[in-house]
Amino acid sequence: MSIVRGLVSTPLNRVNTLVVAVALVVAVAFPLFAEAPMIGVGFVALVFAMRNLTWNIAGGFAGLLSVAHASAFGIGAFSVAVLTWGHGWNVWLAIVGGILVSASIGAVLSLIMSRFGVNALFFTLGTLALTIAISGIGASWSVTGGVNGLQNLTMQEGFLHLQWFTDATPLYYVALGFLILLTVGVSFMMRRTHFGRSLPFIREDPVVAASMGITVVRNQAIAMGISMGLTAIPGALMAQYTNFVSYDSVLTVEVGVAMLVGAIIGGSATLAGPIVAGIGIAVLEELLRSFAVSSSNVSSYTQIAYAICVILILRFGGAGIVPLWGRLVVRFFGTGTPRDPESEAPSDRHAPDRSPDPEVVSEHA
Amino acid sequence: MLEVTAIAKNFGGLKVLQDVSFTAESGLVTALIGPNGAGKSTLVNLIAGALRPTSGSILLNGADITGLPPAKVFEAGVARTFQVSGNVAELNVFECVALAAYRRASGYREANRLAREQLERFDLWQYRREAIGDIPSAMIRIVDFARGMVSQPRVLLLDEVMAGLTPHEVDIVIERVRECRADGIAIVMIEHVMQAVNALADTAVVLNHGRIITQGTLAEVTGHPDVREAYLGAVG
Repeated sequence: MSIVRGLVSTPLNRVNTLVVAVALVVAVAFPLFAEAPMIGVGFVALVFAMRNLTWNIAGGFAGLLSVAHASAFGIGAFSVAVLTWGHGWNVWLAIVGGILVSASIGAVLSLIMSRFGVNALFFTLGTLALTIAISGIGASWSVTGGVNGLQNLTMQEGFLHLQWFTDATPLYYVALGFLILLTVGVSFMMRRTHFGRSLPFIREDPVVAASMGITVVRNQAIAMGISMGLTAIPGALMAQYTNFVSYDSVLTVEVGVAMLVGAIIGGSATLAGPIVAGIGIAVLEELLRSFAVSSSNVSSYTQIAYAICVILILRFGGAGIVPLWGRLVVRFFGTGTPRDPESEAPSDRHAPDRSPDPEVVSEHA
Repeated sequence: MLEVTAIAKNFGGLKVLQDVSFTAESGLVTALIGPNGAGKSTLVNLIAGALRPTSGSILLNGADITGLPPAKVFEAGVARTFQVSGNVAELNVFECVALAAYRRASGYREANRLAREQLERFDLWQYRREAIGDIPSAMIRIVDFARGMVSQPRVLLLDEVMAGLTPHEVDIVIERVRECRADGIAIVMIEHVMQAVNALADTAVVLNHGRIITQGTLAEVTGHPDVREAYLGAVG
């Protein structure tokens, strides 16, 4: 009951509950009325949303601004390409393998950084260096196909093989399912577990966090492990969608920067922000394409659009789209007073962070 | 009971603390007083594990906690407040207290229940959804105090918890400190607000230039000539 009350306790919560409900309905119904190419766009949007969300566990909640997540995305894609396409593993096993490898790299990287006590700037530079190094390996190693990349030549289709060659719809629903699962999981972790609740404190002030019994170094490593491990999932899905993987399609610094910028534009301390931004960016790219921008220019126009978004958000939004949205809703509808503040359990009365709309647990389509 | 024995701390060649020994008994308030730069905050940082002593030992109820990392020291039962809570300004009051509650809570619900208990006890419940930076500065101190108390510590280190409070608010916090003292917690207090020192200090330890000048009851130490000299300059 307390959860239901939390969903409608303030005007902001009511608006957001409505938005999430509509978004979910639209997301589920989307393939029914969209044309085939648009379903592909929808899939890419979901992948962007998913990787922004998983980046945000370390980057937004724990404050570890990482570019190493591009490696995780690439490892996810290459684990499918190498193990499933090349060696006939079941794709789900390959995904689990990609998750484990990425998670280990994330945790070890974080521990090494902590061991040398690097500050935030050097952490980002270190993760950048790792991505460049792993990208270099991807470009030169025969196992990953070198500069030519790897092509999916398998024939099997179906859910067990996570492959439908002519129709993007099933993969779209798989991505949507993963996104919802991850969103609910991350939301639970951030609000209900000691570990999750400790991350904002580690971000804001590690010294205060440590004085409250939090093992900062360990939790940072776990956050990086979970965050990078889960980032392998959208990478693997992307590989199954494109059926072609090369280092410059999935394992570049740009991929890492896209996650970082996407999450920050959306509102990195919020749950919904990275999802909104991921979908927004995918839609933006598609719109630019429809304005007869030649495909070779799309990425540069997207960069300009990114820049404009970032400037607008720095000017007006501060903490990102979702916090801005929260402020706008509060301005129009007021903060409202909960009908029965005293009897309400504290469990639904707070966000794990400064997010003004903790109840948004799914994407805005 | 907290026993600090022959603690010394050097930063390079700079001897910040030398041969500091004192005991903070459970159920008593031990005030650390002394002029600015005497080494009081360094001493608190050493006890809380934020710094490692160069030599000496710190025992908590007989167990050695010297040089343990801060999280372990907290688990052992030493809670502290900070002079500046500015960095956590964006975090939520409720979360601040709830996170510290995990020391004795087995899970989410219990941590929240304990946090609620403390917030209500300190009349902070109305602020629970606010960011720390958005509440009156006096309330931030009380949140800090609630954060320390929710973990039910054996030792509570109060680092200028009264600074910036109005006399009325100081009285409120004094009452809280008395309650904790009655619970049998050893309280170590760095304090410049004499209203609080006079009302609370069972024993006082006076530091100057990194050494203990004297210790004893408040009446004893304030009458001590070295203390008068440290505060007022050379006498006579």
